Amino acid sequence: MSTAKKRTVKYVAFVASLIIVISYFSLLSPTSAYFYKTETKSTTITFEMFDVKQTLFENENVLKFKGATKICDTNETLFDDVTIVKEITVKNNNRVNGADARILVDIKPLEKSVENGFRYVAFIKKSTDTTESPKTKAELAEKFGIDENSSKEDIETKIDAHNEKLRSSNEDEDKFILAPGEEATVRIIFWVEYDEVQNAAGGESVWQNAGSIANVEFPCQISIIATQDNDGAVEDALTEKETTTQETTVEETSENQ
Amino acid sequence: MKKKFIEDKKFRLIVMLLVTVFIVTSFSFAWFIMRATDETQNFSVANFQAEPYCYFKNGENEVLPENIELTDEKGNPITDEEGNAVVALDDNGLIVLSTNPGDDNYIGNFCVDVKYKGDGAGYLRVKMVHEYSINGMSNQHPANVPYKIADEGDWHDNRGDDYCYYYKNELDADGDAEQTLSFITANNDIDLGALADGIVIKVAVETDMVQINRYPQIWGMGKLPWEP
Repeated sequence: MSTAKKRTVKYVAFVASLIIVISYFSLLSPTSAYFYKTETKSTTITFEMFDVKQTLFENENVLKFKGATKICDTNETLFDDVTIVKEITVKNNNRVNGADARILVDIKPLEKSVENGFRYVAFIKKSTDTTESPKTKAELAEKFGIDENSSKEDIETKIDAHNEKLRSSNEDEDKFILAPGEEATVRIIFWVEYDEVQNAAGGESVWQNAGSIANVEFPCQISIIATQDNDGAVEDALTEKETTTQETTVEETSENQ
Repeated sequence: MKKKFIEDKKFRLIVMLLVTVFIVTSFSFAWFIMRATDETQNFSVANFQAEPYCYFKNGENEVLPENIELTDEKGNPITDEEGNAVVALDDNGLIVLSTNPGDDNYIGNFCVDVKYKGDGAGYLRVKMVHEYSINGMSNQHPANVPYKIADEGDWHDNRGDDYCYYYKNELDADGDAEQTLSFITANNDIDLGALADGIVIKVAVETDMVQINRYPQIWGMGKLPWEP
């Protein structure tokens, strides 16, 4: 091959690779590059253009429960007094090209949190939705059909299924979409089951006068995820989250050792 | 002309750089597809403990019951069968209160604080069970001992029903640091008119805390005693 032909081939290769790269990115959702979240002290997350590190519960290194409770104990009428309820506002602030965002709420109790009694349930609703997310035990009971005949397993299965839908559902009726400019509120209710935490506290009761002080901690990874509105992006987002979670857990284990 | 331009090394270098920059930038943008708020938040729950701290206050001095040796009417030390001094804390943990203002264990000198620590929020009650005797014979006494309560508005006297005083506020312990709540304070003007002469009073003091949400089940009451 002559030198001139070789140069021509190189030139064509350059142009071809340029076209391939441009084509690849032009096929991605145009919203992709514009998502990003910031957070303020009022726990508002806005998805915009760039990424920053933010804190969901600023200045609250440890959230202390006032006490333990039990959701399936129908005699425990003051459940609401000791839950921790957090609300986070999210907004699709994509002002560039008006694409939708799919919102996922991914909460992962770490280490032995669940075994030690830590529980949560999350809800998400648009700010234009006038129906109120459950907050009290009575509202949770109505939402999940809890009554004196409900077993602990039944209740936990229902709540787990509900939480899982917020985390990864690709079903049309379950996925949560925010159009540009729309806001939503994520409400998360956390509590501790009193019989399970008792074991973690060395057998000491945590609800009445104790012989010694036992403090039980529950690390929990909380993520609010925005992706483009397609199932592949959701799967990729959760895969990335899994990796992050595993790395975090390993780091924490190392520190404890 | 065009061929020469392509052959130019600077041109090729510029194209290479542009392609590299474009690829790097594009991958960075792609990474933003699935960014998320992501944070590990710690939660905790803890128990708490409360215990009474009983002492007699004589002037500025605080004397524990076990350090007060009892004396008879003539001021002579009282001893047991083995000749040991009898103190103001008996073998059953009862504190002996004297109605004689000259005694160290005079009821008007009697003070109780509640020391508590831990985490969480709870309600506190202090149970005070009294034993009365005259000349060594146990006796029933209809009158409640007229203690002087610190911050009286914060306490509910429910002794008529369950021998307890209830602290009406939610008590928030703060970790391992022990906190003190004043309950009964010394009262030199205590009115003992309702108590019989020569009476000996013994008192047992117990504290009991319960989570704010669990008093219906643990204490067995539908509402707190001071609630209408």
